[in-house]
Amino acid sequence: MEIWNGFVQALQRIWETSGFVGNDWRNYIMIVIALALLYLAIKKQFEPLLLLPIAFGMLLVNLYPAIMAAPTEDANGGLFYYLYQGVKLGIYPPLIFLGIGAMTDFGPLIANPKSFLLGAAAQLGIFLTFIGAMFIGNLGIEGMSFTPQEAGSIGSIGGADGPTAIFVTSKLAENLLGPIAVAAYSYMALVPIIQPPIMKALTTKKERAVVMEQLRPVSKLEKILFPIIVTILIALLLPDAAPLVGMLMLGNLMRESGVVSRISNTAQNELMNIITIFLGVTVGATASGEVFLSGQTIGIIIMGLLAFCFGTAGGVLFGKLMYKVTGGKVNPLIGSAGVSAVPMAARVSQKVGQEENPSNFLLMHAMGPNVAGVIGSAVAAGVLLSILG
Amino acid sequence: MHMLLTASGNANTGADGILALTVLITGMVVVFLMLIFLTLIIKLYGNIVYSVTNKEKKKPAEPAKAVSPAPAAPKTAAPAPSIPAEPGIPAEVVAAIAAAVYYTEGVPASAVRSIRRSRKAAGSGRSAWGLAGVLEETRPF
Repeated sequence: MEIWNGFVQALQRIWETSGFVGNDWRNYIMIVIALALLYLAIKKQFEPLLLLPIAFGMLLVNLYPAIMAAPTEDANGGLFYYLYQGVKLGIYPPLIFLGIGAMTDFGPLIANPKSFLLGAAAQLGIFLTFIGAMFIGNLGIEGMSFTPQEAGSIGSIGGADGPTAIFVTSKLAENLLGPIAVAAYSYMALVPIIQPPIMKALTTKKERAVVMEQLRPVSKLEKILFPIIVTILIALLLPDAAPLVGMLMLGNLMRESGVVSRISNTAQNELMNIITIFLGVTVGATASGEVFLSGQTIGIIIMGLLAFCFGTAGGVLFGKLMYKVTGGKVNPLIGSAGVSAVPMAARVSQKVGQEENPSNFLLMHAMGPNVAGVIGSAVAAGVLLSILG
Repeated sequence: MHMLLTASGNANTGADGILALTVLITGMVVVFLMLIFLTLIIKLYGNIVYSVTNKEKKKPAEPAKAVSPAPAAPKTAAPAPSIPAEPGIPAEVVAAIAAAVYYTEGVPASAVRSIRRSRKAAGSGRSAWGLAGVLEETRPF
C-alpha cells in the first residue's frame, strides 16, 4: 500500500510540474506561431539562419518558461537567462557588426561618396515612425500607449537593420525586445516583397531605365584608410554610435588590411555564426505568451511595416532629387537600398532596374547606398540614444 | 483604466508633440550632417590618394616602354595580331584580357606584350592557385 501511495504521489508531482498545468492558453498560441515560423524558415527559406533559431527559442520558452528564469537565492537561472545577457547588455549586436564589417566591401561607397546621402535619406522611416508611435500612444487606445523610449525603439525597425534595432531597444525599452526583434527580422526577410511596389509607385519608367556611369576603381590604400577615418569621426562626434560603428569598422579594417586574414575569416564565419545562434534563440525566447500576445505587439508589427515603407520612400525620393540635380545621371532606384538590409535591398534595386532595362546593372551602384545605410542607421541609433536614453 | 489613459494621454499630447518633432528634426539633421561630412572627407582623401597613386603609376610606366617585347611569346596566327598569344588561347580570351587590362590599368590593348598560360609552380605538382590555397590553410601562427 505504501508503495502504491508513493507511486501515485510521484505521478502527481510529475503532472503538477509538467507544462500542461503550468502553461496557460497564450503559451499554446505562441507554440502554434513558433511552428508556423519554423515552417516559413525551413520550407519557404525566409532568412532561415535567423528565423530558425528565433522560432525554436520561441517554441522552447513557451513549453518550458523556466528556461528564461532569473536566478533566485536558492536556484540558478535558466540557460537562456544567461545567454540573454549578451542581448540585454548590448554585447551581441556590436559583435554581429564586427562580422558584417569583415564581410562588407565599402569600395562602391568610396568610389561614389554621394551614396552617403541616400543612406541618410532612408533613415527617414525611423524618425517618422517615432512620431507615429507617439501619436498612437496619445490616442488613448487601451494597451497601445508607448513611452518616448518605446516609440524610439519601434522607429528603429525602419533602419532595416536587426542588430541596430536590438541594440537601441535593449538600451531604451527592453520590455519590447521580443516583438521588435521579430518584426525587424521578419521585415528584412520580406524586403523583396515590400520594396518594389513603393519603388515603382514613386518613379517614372524613364527614371528607372537610367544607366549609371561605371564606378572608378578604388585603391587598397583608400579602403584601408576608410574604416580608420570613419571610426575617428563618428566616435568623436556621436559617441553613442561608437560601439556599433567602431566594431563595424574594426571588422572592415581586418578585411581590407589583408594582414590578419585568419581573424577576419573567424569574424565573418565562426564568430558570426555563434553569435547568430545565441542572439536568435534568446530573442525568440523573449516572446513568451504573456508578453507577446498584447495590443502593443500588434501596434509594433504595423508600425514596423510603416517604418520600413517610409525608409524606402525616403531613399527613393532623395534618389529622384539626385536624378534631377545631376541631370539624369543617378537612377533613383538605388535610393531604396539606403535602408541597410545588406545585400538584399541592393539586389532588389538591381532586379527592379533590370525589369525596365535588361542590360542595366545597378547592383554595384546600389551597394554604395546599401552599406551607407548601415552607417546611417547606426548614426540614427546614436541620435535616438543620446536624446531618449 | 481606459479613461485614465485617455486623460493622461491628452494632458501629455503637447509635450509629446514637441518631443516628437524635436527628435525628427534633430535626427534627420544630425544624420544628414554626419553623412555629408563623411562624404566630403571621403571625397577629399579619395582625390588625394587617387592622384598620389596615379603619379606613382605614371613614373615607372615611362621606362617600361623602352623594354623590348618579351621573348617568351611566340608569334601565332591569332586573330588579334597586335597581342602575341600562345597557340591554343582563343581570340575571345585575348580580347577579355586586353579589356581587363585596359579597365584596371587604363592602357590600350597594344600595351599587352604577350599572353601565356601560367606554368605550374616550380617544384610542386600544384597550380599556383592550389599552392596559394594550401599555404593559406597550413601556414603557422
